[in-house]
Amino acid sequence: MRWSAEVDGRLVECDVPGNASLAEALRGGAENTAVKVACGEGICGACSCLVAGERVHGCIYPAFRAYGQVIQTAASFADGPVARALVEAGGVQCGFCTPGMVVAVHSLSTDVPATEAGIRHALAGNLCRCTGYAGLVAGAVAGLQRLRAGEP
Amino acid sequence: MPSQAANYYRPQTPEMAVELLANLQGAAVIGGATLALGKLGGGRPSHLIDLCDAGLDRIGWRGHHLSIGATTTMRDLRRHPELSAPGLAAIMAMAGHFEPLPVAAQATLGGNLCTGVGSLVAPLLLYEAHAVLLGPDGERHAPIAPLRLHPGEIILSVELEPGSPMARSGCQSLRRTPVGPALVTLAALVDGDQLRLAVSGIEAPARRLRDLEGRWDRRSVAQWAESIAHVVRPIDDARGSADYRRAMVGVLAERLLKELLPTELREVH
Repeated sequence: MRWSAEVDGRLVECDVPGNASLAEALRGGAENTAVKVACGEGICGACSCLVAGERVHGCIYPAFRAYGQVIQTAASFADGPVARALVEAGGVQCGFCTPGMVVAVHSLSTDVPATEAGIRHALAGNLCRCTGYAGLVAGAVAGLQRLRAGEP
Repeated sequence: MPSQAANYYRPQTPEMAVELLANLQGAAVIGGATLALGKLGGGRPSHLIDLCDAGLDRIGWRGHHLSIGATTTMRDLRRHPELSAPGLAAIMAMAGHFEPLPVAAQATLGGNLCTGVGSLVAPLLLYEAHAVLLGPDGERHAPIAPLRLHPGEIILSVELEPGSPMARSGCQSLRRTPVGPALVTLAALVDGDQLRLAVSGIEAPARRLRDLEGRWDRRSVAQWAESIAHVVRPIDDARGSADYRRAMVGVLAERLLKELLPTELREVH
């Protein structure tokens, strides 16, 4: 089936099976490797992306439900304050969960406090197997604060 | 990447969904799709019939029953004003479990029931809930535990009796992963000195513990928890042994009853 969406600011059109997940469409159809697939069950959050501003787990989200929508992957935020803060705080080790973490922080609404407790609760759907979370959470807090301060 | 021959359909009405289901081999109906696309679903369906535009996401009254549409998401359940009464807190507690996770905006009530071990089943059983189904032979009502769909049927909604506005209810569950099936879910409702109890996950199918229900007697909370652990018939599977489940339902029962009981009853014991 022909699939189309605006992905990271670019109009993408490709052939995608009707029963594909969004992560499969983005990686296999749109060749966007900013979306990582780890658990494939909607648990780890590595495949997090935004569909019309709403965070979803791409591995369990139907590709065609996102047809024609604006989709943002970590590639949209690669040069942003959250990604920089994660690197500076030592929040990246193997890096596989990092794209999902960056997207997740960018998706947080203003009622999520930019504190350690707030971030730990809000990022419960994003798992990391390497860092032990200390640097990652510190980086996410700093990144969210910088994002809200309007840092480009 | 799955087969290119697969198709995706988004019917605008439940009747159209039933017709598609009757005519497409290997098709599956999806509400949130969290199971159909994830590895937990056990195999990708050939075609997807997505109910997201079929108008099944409404919550409202149908006579004396509160009707909750099958594609109502956990997040919408959590936020709907009709479900904010203390007597319905058990449903809110389970829906709230998913709150910080993106899956909360995707996982649906219907999907939760279809898993057979859904954690919403126990709280819904407290309110005598039944499912409203639509199939080739029309609409029918069916129990939610066990929920047995005939070939070609879809879930339209779940209807329940909210009961007294003075009631208090709650729910506790234990699970291995944030979105995986619960090993044990225990729901309870206290209305005056009357008690209702239901379990899911620990038994197959989920059920009300009617033998224990009735008037709250002079037993202590710990004794009640022991009685609950005694009457359940735990299953034994890869997620947890029967002994572990039995022990855990006792722990959850004690926590839940302490939370729900009026102070004067709690202090007696």
